[in-house]
Amino acid sequence: MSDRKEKRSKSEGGIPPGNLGQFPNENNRSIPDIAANVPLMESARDGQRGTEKYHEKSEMAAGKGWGVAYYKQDYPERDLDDDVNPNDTLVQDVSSTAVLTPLDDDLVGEVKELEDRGNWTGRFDFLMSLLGYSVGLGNCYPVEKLTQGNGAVLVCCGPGNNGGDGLVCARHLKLFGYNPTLFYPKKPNKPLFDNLTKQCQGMELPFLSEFPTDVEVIQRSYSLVVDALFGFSFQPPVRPLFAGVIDTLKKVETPICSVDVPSGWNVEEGDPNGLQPQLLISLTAPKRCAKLFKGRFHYLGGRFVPRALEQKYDLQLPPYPGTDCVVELNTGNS
Amino acid sequence: MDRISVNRFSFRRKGSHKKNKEENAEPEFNFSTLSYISQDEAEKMNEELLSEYAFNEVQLLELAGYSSAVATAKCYPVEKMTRDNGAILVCCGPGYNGGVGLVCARHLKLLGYRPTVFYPVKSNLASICDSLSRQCESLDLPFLSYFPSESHLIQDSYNLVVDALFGFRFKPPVKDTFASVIETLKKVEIPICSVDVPSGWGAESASPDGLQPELLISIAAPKRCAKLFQGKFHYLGGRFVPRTLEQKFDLKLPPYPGTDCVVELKTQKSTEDEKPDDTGE
Repeated sequence: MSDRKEKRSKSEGGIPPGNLGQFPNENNRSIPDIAANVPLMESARDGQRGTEKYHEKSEMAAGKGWGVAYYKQDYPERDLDDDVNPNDTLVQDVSSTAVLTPLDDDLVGEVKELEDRGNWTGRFDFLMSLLGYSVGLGNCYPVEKLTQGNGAVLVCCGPGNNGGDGLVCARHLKLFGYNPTLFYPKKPNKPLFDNLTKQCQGMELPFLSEFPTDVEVIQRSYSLVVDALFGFSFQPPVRPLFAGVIDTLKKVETPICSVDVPSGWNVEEGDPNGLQPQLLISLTAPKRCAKLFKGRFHYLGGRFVPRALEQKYDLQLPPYPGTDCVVELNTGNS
Repeated sequence: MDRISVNRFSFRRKGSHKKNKEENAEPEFNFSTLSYISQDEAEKMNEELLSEYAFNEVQLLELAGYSSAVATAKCYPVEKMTRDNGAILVCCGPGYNGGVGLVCARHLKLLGYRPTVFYPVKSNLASICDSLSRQCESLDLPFLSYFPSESHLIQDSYNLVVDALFGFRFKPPVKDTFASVIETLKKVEIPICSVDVPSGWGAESASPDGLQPELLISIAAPKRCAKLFQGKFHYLGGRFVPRTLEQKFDLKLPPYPGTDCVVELKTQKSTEDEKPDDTGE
């Protein structure tokens, strides 16, 4: 075990990003192990393992819901033999006359029911969609083209499920050849998150003990930022720690890639003053606020929806090309 | 690796970054150095992934099953299937290999095929495989209540067979229920795709009593018996092995292309012109 820890501190590329001002040497542990330092969140639902809910109970009680938006339109059958640029077949036009579902407290109940019946084995199937996320990111920002720190990526993980998604994403990115560094200040006290964290540590991913407050530092050290702070169950207000992180991220020029929902956005209405990511990857289906996305790339990932759900909620999703697990959605942004 | 000072962190040191693939192609992996692991090593690796590395069995099964589906789809594109719109028979055994098969069936469905599952013996991995089979059901995959007694019945109805009966933990001989299944499968003329180890073989050696698949998908690392594989396509899947585990077991494996979850192991002396569709650049 201790052998592995030593190996981790001598990570490739010299100084692990985020620890600037310190030269690594044999006597210094360059990155403190977050598991030792981070105060853990209390969870009221410790008993629930595996059947992760996507929503906080209190949020459901408050009567607030969140829309699962989908874009209703006919997808013209495209024969790949058509004399068409093959890349075009990947981009699905999103109709401007999108029809939105009424808010489904129903959907929430249904998802939980399915989980309880064991149809989704905990969150693990859903976590597979993070593979789709990582692939999408790899398509938009190939590692060979990144210039800062050998493909260094800063992965910011929030206190809930979106944060867990970030951990999975970081692990896949590492396997794809990137060099992710994690910022994960508030890990929930649940076996799922403990294990995901441990998996990242097993992949030699460093965890920052604090968030760099200097915009310059982030820009110099990382080629990309993955925003996995908050997802679709986010409810304001943002606690101060994360508010500061979001404020800083709003100022960096490094491209930001958001997981499912740009953090801090109202899941239906978005936030014109909020984070403006360059890449958004919607998981399973785009959320209503994605209509207001102004960035460069919008992908859909997570081709793992059982047909029952797809039909019941009338999700009109574009076909995934071939064996790909992502499909690009045409945003109309440049 | 050169120590890089803080001041110069933003500057790229000559040669210290990955070579641009367009300028310098990475040296081709020498397949004669490919690692093959023993049954013992496979068990130990698996054990470490679950304990030290804190993976969950379900995660590994999911990634393995997904890779198997993708490799199958690459070698046997659904557009080329002639029978019943991409009908495939997926045979799942009582253990982990069967679990991988259930995941694979589900992904094959999402990839546009029409899998039918044969899963006669619920394993002692009860809760996991229970969920996995329910997921298949939720995608409307039919489950056969008995195995077709004759090979021509299989050939007439399906385009190919996925063999997820037994994996690296298996030790011959095959027991009753499955003995006749394997006997029948040996006679089919449609391609068989085996997950990790051709069923009926042990992890260490081929067996004339076992299946002769056309496609073998090795999970995480090829097993020793794969050296004796005579089929057409050999793929590696299960892209989840951490670097430190690779080092510990001294594994020499080719790099996966880009973000792909499978890589072809060019161990087969194939004279076929027809190569599987490779989307790597």
